[in-house]
Amino acid sequence: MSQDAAISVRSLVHRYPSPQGEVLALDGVSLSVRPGEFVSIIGRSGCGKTTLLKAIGGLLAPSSGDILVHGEPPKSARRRKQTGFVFQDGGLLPWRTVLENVRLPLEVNTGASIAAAQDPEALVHTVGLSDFSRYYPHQLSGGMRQRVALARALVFSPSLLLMDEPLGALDELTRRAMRFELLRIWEASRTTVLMVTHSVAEAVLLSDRVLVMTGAPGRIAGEVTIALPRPRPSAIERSPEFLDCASRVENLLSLGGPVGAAHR
Amino acid sequence: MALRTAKNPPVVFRGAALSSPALARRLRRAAPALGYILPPLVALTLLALGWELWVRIAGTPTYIMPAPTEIWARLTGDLGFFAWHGWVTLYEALAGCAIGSAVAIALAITMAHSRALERSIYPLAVLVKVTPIVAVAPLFVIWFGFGSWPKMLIAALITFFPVMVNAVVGLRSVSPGALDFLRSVDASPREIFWRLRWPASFPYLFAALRIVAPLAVIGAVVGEWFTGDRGLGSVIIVAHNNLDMPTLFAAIVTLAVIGISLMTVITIAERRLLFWHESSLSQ
Repeated sequence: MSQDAAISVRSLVHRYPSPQGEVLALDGVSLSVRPGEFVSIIGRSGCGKTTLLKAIGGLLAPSSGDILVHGEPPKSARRRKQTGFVFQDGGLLPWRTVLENVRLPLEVNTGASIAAAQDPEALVHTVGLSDFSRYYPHQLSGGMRQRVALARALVFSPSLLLMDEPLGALDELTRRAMRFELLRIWEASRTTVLMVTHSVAEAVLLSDRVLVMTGAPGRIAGEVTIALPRPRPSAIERSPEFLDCASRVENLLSLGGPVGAAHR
Repeated sequence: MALRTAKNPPVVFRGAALSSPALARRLRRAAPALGYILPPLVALTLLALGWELWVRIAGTPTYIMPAPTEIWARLTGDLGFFAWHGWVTLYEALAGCAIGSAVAIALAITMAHSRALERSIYPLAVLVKVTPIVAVAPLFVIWFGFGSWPKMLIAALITFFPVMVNAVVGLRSVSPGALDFLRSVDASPREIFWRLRWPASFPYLFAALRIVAPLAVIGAVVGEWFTGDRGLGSVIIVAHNNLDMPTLFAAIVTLAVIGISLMTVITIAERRLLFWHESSLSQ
């Protein structure tokens, strides 16, 4: 297990109790992410993707196995503000404006030592919402809300960004536009990203590498390296290389059994 | 303005162009309010008119049913009297409402954090809820005397349950994403409470307040029936014993005015504070 890896996970096992007995959510998951790499985890609902992401973020203590984030335990990496999070529903506070939401992380737990806090206003500008910084979440579209969530996650310039289906709650058209928006923002910052997603196109377009998970219990079935050049223009979605990568991901996914079989 | 200077078209045109946006804006703002107020006002006037006619034509004696004009004369003839007793009742209701809500919210906070506490407190709260308030009121007089306390406590008792139930639901009704995020930035339980749970419970607390404010007035009036030398409840009892119907009805009208005022204040506060919530977005 390499010390210079951004994320290094070895034989991770996680069980949780349920009324029907103990459930094995993750069964011996190992993976490694290099600094600056964009890696996606794709798999069906309930395959343990979110559990894996939360364990790497130090929000959940796994039953057994080792996780290192930049050579330290995930919890201490998170405490040192090295890990940023974007959740599926955004998790914005509806009574705070865009700017106030982005500023929120700076206002809580102020006792912690903060290495590099970014200017919230500059971040709002980066995600293209300068004109909306005084708006409230209910006045924004779903895509704009996720951009606010992304800006908020970047406040401490984290060296690792964990995204749990960041575009999952959006409609298909917004989702397509947001993919490229995400790509643009990431290409400017080049922080290490681990993203959980349901969408093959999204995973292939954004990632350097796609890990395919199968569920019940959660295992990594294989990985596909996406050797597409960067920056990636929107036309890349129709290129043969892109379609080839997508079909390889699809193939690995279908090895996990018919649709529905992987559900809890 | 446009109508008054209509003889001089160019000026009119310029004047209208200058003033019309402001005027139109004021009209647009006033029109919906008028739309809300006018229909019930018309209905109320028709009701009073029908009542007045019926009492006069049938010759109903005042000690059974006074005419609206008699009630109005009694109310306006001694406005200070009704205002003072109304103030006493309002004060008792509001103080009771504040005490009941404070206790309810404090308990709700502990219950929202512990299911075990919820299971032990909840049945007791249900017991308080199902006991008819009229049955407890005389007891409160024995315990707390003839001052404002028994009335405030009866109002508090009525207030308690709806506020507690809504506060528990409200404090738990936080978006999982927001909760996860605050945890991810190491927010303390205290920070999570003040920054997330507390504001998230406001819509539920306001819903409770809408139910509870009129109930608290009922509680205060019931308390005054048993002990009263002041307050609209005692005015009603004394007027009833004297068959003084105009005074009784005037007291009822004062209570109605108090109730409507409370609801108006709550509605305005709700719109100001809950601008971010779905319930106010459709308005």
